[in-house]
Amino acid sequence: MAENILVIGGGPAGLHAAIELAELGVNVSLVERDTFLGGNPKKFKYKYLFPDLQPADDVIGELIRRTESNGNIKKYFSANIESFKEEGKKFNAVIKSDSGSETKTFDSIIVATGFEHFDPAKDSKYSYQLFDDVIDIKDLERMMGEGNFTRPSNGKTPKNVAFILCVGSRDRHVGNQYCSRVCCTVSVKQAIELREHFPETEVYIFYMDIRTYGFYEDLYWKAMEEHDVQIVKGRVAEITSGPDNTVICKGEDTLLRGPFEIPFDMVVLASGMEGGPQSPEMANKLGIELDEHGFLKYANVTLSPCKSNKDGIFLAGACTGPKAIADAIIEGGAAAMNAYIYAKKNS
Amino acid sequence: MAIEIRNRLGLADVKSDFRHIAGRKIENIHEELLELEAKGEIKVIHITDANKPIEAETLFGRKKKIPTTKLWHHKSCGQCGNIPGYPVSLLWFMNKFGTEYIDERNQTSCTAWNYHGSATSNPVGLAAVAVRNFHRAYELGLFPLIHCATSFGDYKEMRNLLVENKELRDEVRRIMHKIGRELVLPEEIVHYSEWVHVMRFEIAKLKKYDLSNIITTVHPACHCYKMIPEDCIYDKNIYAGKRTAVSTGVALALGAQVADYSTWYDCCGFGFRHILTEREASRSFVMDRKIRPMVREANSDVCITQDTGCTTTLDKNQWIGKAMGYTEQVPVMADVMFAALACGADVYKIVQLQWHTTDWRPLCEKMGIDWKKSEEEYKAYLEQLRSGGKPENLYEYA
Amino acid sequence: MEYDENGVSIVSNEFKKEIFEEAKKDFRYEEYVKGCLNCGVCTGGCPPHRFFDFSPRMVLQNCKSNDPELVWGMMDEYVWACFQCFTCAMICPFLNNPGGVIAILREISVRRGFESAKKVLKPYSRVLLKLTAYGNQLSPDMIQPDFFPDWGPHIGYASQDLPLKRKAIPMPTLQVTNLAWDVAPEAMKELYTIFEEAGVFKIIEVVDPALYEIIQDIVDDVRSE
Ligand SMILES: Cc1cc2nc3c(=O)[nH]c(=O)nc-3n(C[C@H](O)[C@H](O)[C@H](O)COP(=O)(O)OP(=O)(O)OC[C@H]3O[C@@H](n4cnc5c(N)ncnc54)[C@H](O)[C@@H]3O)c2cc1C
Ligand code: SF4
Ligand code: SF4
Ligand code: SF4
Repeated sequence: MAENILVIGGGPAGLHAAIELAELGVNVSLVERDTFLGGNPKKFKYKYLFPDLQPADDVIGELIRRTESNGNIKKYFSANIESFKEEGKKFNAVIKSDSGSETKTFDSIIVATGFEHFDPAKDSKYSYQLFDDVIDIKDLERMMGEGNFTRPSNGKTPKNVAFILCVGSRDRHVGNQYCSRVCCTVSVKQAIELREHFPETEVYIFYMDIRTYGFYEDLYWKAMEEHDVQIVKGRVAEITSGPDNTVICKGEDTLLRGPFEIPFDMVVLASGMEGGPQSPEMANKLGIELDEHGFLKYANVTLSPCKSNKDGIFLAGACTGPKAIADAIIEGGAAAMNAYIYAKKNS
Repeated sequence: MAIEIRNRLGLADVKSDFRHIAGRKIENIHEELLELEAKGEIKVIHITDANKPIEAETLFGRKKKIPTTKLWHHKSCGQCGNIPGYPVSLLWFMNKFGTEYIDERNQTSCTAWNYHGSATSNPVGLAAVAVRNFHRAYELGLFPLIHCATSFGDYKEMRNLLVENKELRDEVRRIMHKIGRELVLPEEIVHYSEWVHVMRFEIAKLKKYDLSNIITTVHPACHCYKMIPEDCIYDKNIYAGKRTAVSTGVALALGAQVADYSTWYDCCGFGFRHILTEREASRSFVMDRKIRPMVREANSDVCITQDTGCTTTLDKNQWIGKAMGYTEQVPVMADVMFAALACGADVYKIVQLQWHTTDWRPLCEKMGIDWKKSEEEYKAYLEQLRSGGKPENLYEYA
Repeated sequence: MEYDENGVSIVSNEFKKEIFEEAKKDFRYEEYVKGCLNCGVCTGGCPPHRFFDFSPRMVLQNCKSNDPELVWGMMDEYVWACFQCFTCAMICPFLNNPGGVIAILREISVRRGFESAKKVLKPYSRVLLKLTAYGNQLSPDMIQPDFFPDWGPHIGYASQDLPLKRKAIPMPTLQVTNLAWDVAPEAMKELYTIFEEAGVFKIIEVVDPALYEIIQDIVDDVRSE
């Protein structure tokens, strides 16, 4: 008899795990709280992905298509795990979805509930919501994805744009001490895209450290070398109103200029990633651990990064911490393998 | 000018869903305070129903109770000698509302000038002075209302240090016993501008003049909202909850326009030490960083403050600014003084603008206030006093 | 202290270390100095940074360096540049308090009676006197045209007929000229006990002995009333 495995979350990590398992002949139940698959990249309409600026559809669209066409994957939308019980080595779960309630027994579980974008409204100093022209990287992804990048205040193309890194990350005021890993690369990628599409628009990036780790560094170099993106070391301290409907970024250029005050037509906040409400929700429901950063906790961060502290429950993707799509996909595969082995052993 | 200020107006009215969060521990202080009280380590001045409190939301969403009556005035040592209209306007409103209060001689300065200005004090000294004044309010059964931003900042800080530090508590308690007092802390440290803020709709009911063509610019006091910011009031309907709501709130409630300007967050240039001995730095700061932007960017008719030092610094330095080529001028007064003017308080006898340096007459005229009549009456009043007449006071001093 | 052949004091490494240790021993130090990302947020918002060679980022960097030399280098006029506005403390992502560190360093400088502190505090003796002896500060009679010439001719108006104008302020506590409000002697006496017990008088004695004498005379007078 085929194994039954539950995958919670239909983002890149969950989709990849579901596909791999289905190809092994497993009966997969994919539970997604939204009405569509694809996770955050789909929700915010990412258009081109770092590191190689390939169309998001080639990755996310592909994952969705493979999931949809696979008969071994049963998809539940607007769904959540209503109740959950362990029974010996197996798990009983009631799945509530737009097609009603269903009780099922699973051999193992993969949690791939992902992350939430840090909401910059939570940090008063960035004046998000106060100034129309202060947006964040997910807003910009969506604007670029929908092909309508203009200043929210007047619908015009901005003369200059500032990116502010580490918004909601590496800042104890909002309780997030960790680095969100992707926002440097996302910002550099977006800066390049802006320069390509709007060559008249000047682009600045205000940073504390540029963390385009590994090969992502290529984008950072490219931004300077080919696109003349201004990279300024110094975190922005204040945002206020400037002349001619601009917003002023004020801070210290710790290397060159000393104190600066520059009016911008638009400011893009590189908001980071958070565990969101789903991480504690999963921890409570499934009886697994949450870490001090608000993400789900690995059994062993180095040896078994796909295992939770509970046998039979595995973790994949951004639910265990900020990461790029490639990492989420790799983890989806690894978790699928782990979950499959566990299911095999116990059936 | 109109084009320039377009994006500066209306910002104060932006509304939001206001979801600030804090990573640091903030509510613990208030909980720990009550725990210390339960253990008998300290006494707490509670805000009770008798204080008719009104709640306001703070930066991270905690509800702060602001007592509106049964108050003990903690005057400001910088304000009373220099801008007397500031406390007088406050008391004038309190009389209108029938607020119970005591203003008395048995109060000292917070002495935090010796902290921020000269460093000739220390935490034990500062905390002991704070507790002495709290205890005085406590024994009268009243709640301390702090007029000065620096006292407010200092007292918030001393409260935190006392709650977190047993040694400091023990030392301060020992000193209190020497002067026949006890270790007492109020449930909340409350600034007068917070009282004005929660009373702003009541205040607005007393309004006499139309302010819709008055453009105000607010200078928030650093020691109010930058020191222990989690105890400050933010409102999701004022500046989208991104900036402290006090002072702006009352200006809006009175129907005045509030304009933003590029240096809103900047301090006034007081600098404690600098206002006295590095006057050049203070003055340049005032003119370059505050007055000029307020006038040029916002076309401001009046600068609204919430502290003593700021009011003095911003007001007094404009005259010499003229000699340095700064032609911009804007009258400066505390929110409560502006509100009193709007509600028909006498320009001279109550708001006491005669002590201010920068010309405030154009503002009065724009508001429709007959300051000349006030001036005549004030002169007559002075003559009356000179010939032995009895002063008309806001309260009788026992 | 040691001196070179020109009579200039040589500050030994031991002494610099002692000063640094004294700062670190302050119970507030750990709370104020945590670690520093060199992000410049503090300095970006710091008012005196625009006028002086002063940067709260450097204050934190120097303190974290564990190099007594660097900390000693701030013990002169440097620490007195700070406005004590606490913009830095409000926004530092590490939750440091550079302005608070400055206060600790200033207190050491004053407590030790360093020349720089004496020099900086000299012009304040009047304010210091009012504060310490009367629990008050800027009194109406201090605001005189000759003392504040740059505040303009209006100061002259305000200082004329001062007693009468003060009497016309409708708050009885304010109807005096030598103090911002008429502080009750019992409040002053309590303040003296606090200052004695907390060591505040001692600090003033070190940094300004002449002023200390005057204050003590007033204290004696008030106490014997
Ligand atoms: C602005 C931005 C741009 C980015 N651009 C790139 C890029 O160009 N290239 C790149 O490699 N990476 C990029 N990333 C990173 C990328 O978004 C993540 O690596 C990826 O989304 C992680 O996938 P995931 O499946 O783990 O999580 P998610 O994408 O968050 O998906 C999680 C899914 O789980 C669902 N879910 C959550 N809770 C529940 C629940 N309780 N029950 C059921 N379902 C639930 C969610 O609805 C969602 O569909 C970017 C990130 C940001 C912030
Ligand atoms: S990836 Fe870059 S922007 Fe994001 S938190 Fe890390 S350093 Fe900051
Ligand atoms: S407290 Fe001092 S160091 Fe901090 S911002 Fe203000 S002036 Fe600068
Ligand atoms: S804000 Fe804090 S972390 Fe950043 S440079 Fe200043 S002290 Fe260092």
